[in-house]
Amino acid sequence: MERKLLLREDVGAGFKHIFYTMIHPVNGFDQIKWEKKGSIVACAAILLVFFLTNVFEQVLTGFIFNTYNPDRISVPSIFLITMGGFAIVYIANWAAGSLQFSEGENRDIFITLCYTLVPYTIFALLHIFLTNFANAEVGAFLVALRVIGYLWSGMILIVGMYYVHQFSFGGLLLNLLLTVIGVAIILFLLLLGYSLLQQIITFVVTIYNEIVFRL
Amino acid sequence: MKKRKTVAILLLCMILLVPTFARAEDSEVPYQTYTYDRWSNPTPTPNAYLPTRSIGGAQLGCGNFNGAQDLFYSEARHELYVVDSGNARVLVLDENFTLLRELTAFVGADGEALAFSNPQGVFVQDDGSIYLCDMGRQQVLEADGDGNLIRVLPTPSSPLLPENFNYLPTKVVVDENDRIYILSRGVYQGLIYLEPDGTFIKFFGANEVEMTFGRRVQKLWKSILSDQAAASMQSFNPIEYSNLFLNGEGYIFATAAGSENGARVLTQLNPLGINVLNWTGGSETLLYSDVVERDGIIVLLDTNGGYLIQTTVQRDAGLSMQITFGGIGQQLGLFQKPVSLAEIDGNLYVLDAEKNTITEFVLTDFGREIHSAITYYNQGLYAESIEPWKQVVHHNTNYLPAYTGLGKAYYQMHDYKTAMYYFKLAGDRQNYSLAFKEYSLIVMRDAFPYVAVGLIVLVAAALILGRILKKRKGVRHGT
Repeated sequence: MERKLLLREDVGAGFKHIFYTMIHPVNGFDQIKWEKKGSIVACAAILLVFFLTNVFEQVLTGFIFNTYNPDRISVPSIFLITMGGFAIVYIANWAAGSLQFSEGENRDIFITLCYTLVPYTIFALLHIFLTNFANAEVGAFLVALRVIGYLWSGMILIVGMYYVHQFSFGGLLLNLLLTVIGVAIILFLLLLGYSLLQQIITFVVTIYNEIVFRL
Repeated sequence: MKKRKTVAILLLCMILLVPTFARAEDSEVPYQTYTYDRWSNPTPTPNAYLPTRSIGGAQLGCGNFNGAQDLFYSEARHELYVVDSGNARVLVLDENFTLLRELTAFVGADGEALAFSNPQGVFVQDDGSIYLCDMGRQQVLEADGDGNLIRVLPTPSSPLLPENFNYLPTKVVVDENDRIYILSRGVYQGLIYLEPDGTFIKFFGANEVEMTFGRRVQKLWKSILSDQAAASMQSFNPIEYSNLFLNGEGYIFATAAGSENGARVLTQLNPLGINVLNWTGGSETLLYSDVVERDGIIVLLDTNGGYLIQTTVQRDAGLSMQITFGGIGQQLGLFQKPVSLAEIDGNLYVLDAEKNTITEFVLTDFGREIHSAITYYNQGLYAESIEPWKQVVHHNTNYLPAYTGLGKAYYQMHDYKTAMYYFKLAGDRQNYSLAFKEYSLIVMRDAFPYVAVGLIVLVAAALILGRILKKRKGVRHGT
């Protein structure tokens, strides 16, 4: 069923719908919710571009604005932070929605969160491009560009969540709060699991060594 | 036969291996000189100074020092003064370290000798008059070059001074107008500033209070609590100075010991007592005990780690100008408790209160090139500094200020592209931005005719094309 849905997707229309939603968020999310517009493949492409943007930001930002130490840039860790971060937010939001008996479907939540990244990514790319042609005095305008991206993304997020979950405004705020708490809980559990795993590994290795010494 | 062959091969291996492990510089000095890269990581650099000899009392023929506290070099008189506190004497040496005089007391006009008790600091004016801080006598004495007492400066008295004021003068400097600046132990309000006749004027150039996070929290509490409760809390005092240095231009450099975050450990006081130096050191050395300065090159002495730190007054240079060497130890070039520093013709002399020796550090070629380049650079003679900077880079490609210097030189010569290249190597974003601005202006100016002509051609073409199309349309409509 899922597979068929993916295959049946009109990816071209999906891409078009991304930009339509950026400018007409209310209509766009309405269409996602009720007409099942939007495409998972297009959203995957957004995620890829989002990840690449984060890499570019450290590598391609103009010298005047680039404060990253090239020795410390690690693409795997950027991947983990961007994609892992997205996954955690997605899971937390989905979980929060379930707790609040929302009408949001899994697919719709995923698409909405991906769409949220679009203005941020576009303005970040624009910023990275322009830093190569700007001197320090123009920096303030470039920062303003960034801020526009953030605000636009925030607006998309609020409208998107509002339509996808079909919440009241209070419910929406509660949902966002619960998402933040959910992210914190997931991170805590991951940390706990990580340290536990480490201890188990040490334990197993110790037992193995003891046995080997006694054989 | 076979055994002999093995031995021969082994020997050959050893001979081949040895030079790769022991570099020439390492064997000469017991420390690693380092500077900082653009990410503030310590980076090894060739030695700027080499320790050549250590001079003790025995070499001078006057018996060992005992807890000597101060070293003062009078450039005008070519004399080096050593305050040997434990032995209550002042030794006067010439530049070749031969003992000229040994002062143990100043002789008054009435023939009565005032013996030193615990001399801590000395200052000698160009005319030869000696100012001596005697902590045991709690007095500052003035004498002429031969040790004849001129006067005993009176203990300062003023309503500004606290009631339980304990006068413990340790260091003194006298400016060219004979005004006297005294550092007294336990006085955090600043330097004691006296008129030439010895009357107290005011406290001079108090250091700033260091606002750490803890102090900010305390300040918040103080504003909430009652006055009585607040008065019983710890008061915020400025950091006390540890030593003074009067440079050739009349600025007083003061070091402070015991800063918590590395700020405010070095101040450069102008004649109004205001700090004009915007300098923050690294975080690892926090107990500065002395400083010397010449042509904008500052050398600081850190008692805690036994480090000598060469830096500069240049505001935009930051940490990367710094060169650090020395350390704690017994070998020549390391210290036990370095307390005072003097500079003669670029060479450094460090007095150690525990080793009871003076260690001589001589500039290397690398150090000399840095000095000449920085001197040009500080005077704004960037074009002249190109040659020495290139020499510095030749010795050490990791010495980033050299690239900043080269960048500034080319910037001044309007060669913005080369300037950008060097600023990028130096990691100097601010200056790179300035050069980039000029460069992009030139590029735009050069490209403007082509762009303008191109635009005109395009607009004209569009207009003509539009008219032709309209005509055709009109023709079609007409038929």
